Amino acid sequence: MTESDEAIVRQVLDGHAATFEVLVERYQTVLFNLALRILGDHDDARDAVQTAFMKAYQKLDTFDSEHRFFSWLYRIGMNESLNASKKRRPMEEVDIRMTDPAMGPAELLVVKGLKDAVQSALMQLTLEYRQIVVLRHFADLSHRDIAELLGIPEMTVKSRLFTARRLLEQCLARKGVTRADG
Amino acid sequence: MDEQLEAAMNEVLDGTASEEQSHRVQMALAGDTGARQRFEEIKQLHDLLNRTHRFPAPTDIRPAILRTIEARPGGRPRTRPFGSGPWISISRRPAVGMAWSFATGALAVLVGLALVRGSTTAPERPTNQPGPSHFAGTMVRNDGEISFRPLSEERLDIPGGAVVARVLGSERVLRVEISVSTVTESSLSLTYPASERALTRIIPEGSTPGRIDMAVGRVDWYPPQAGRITLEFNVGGLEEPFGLETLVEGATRRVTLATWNAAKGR
Repeated sequence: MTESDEAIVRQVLDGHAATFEVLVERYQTVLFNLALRILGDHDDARDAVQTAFMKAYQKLDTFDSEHRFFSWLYRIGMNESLNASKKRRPMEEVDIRMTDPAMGPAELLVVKGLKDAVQSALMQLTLEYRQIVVLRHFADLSHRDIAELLGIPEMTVKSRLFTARRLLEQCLARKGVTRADG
Repeated sequence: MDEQLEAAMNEVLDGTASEEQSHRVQMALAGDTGARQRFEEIKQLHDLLNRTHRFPAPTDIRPAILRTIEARPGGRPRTRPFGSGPWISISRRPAVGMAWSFATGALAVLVGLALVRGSTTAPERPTNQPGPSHFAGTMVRNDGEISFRPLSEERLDIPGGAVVARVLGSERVLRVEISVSTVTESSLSLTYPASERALTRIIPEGSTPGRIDMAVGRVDWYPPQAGRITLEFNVGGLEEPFGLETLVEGATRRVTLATWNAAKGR
């Protein structure tokens, strides 16, 4: 049975520091994708995630177990990404190194083109809209989770998501990823 | 296209539609070509977003975090605010007031040194083992073109010895020289603002400098009984103030080496 985040936090605070690894394993992908979509750069995202986890570890005793651990961790990760984005160099294309190695060259090109187009379109959204898309589609969070995370009503989440998708659609259409192309 | 219908289509695709919304979309799809086309377009956007999601996290994130955690002498997060409790802070202002002329904004550099004594809490210390080859035996370069000025000097007496830390600064480089002389085992943790990636050089002296572990925002040094290490930080061009938070738990001494705020000229 999977242990709850809060139980793991208690173990870490009780001196079992290595147990923190479970939390890293559990959330590194979500945080990395969040950072990657905010920053648009593989290395910057990795640094941001690493720093976020270290800050979380360092401040673990301030975590209020009345709230969800991921919500708390997410805020640290988001702050770290935003801080990094203020200092970062101009946006680079998203690294495609992580693409499935089984893909053929033609398929790879198509996927890379689409990924680049999506990332580029995302980067044109304001942070408010970008983070809502990231949380829904790249972190697989429900509307309710997103609402809790951002401290906004669920209706606002839906409304922002609706607008963000429309804006994305327009950006993608301008980039030649037409509606028909999908 | 009716915005409410389009919103309902999104809800259907998100799996969060109410019964009423689902019914409305079904009716529209059954009798309206334009609605069917729009639904397909929205579905394609959802598919595209979902298809491109999730890069795996880089494989080096977890090991790097774990290495840093394992290197912590106390083995657990701190349980009190930084700088309080049994920490003994002997920080003071830089000995020499310097007018730091940076073109942009405020700059604050806070470099802290934590000293841990005793073998019970410190990680295994292979003091006879030389550090990595690129560290061993390197002397501080003679920076003919860089003019360093003394900022502060701290002496920390510990049982069986002392730690002396000198901080020197130039316009773009902060240099920290730490000397240790002790008859007991010790470990030193120097922490600095991690996100700035400001640490540019580590220069241990002597043929057996002891072990040096580096992590994001932190350098741990397990020195021989007498040793010296120099670290350099690139602090030029940084526009925002930043500070230090230490990762060290179980330390018996902490000393703040330098606090630097260009806007205030100190």
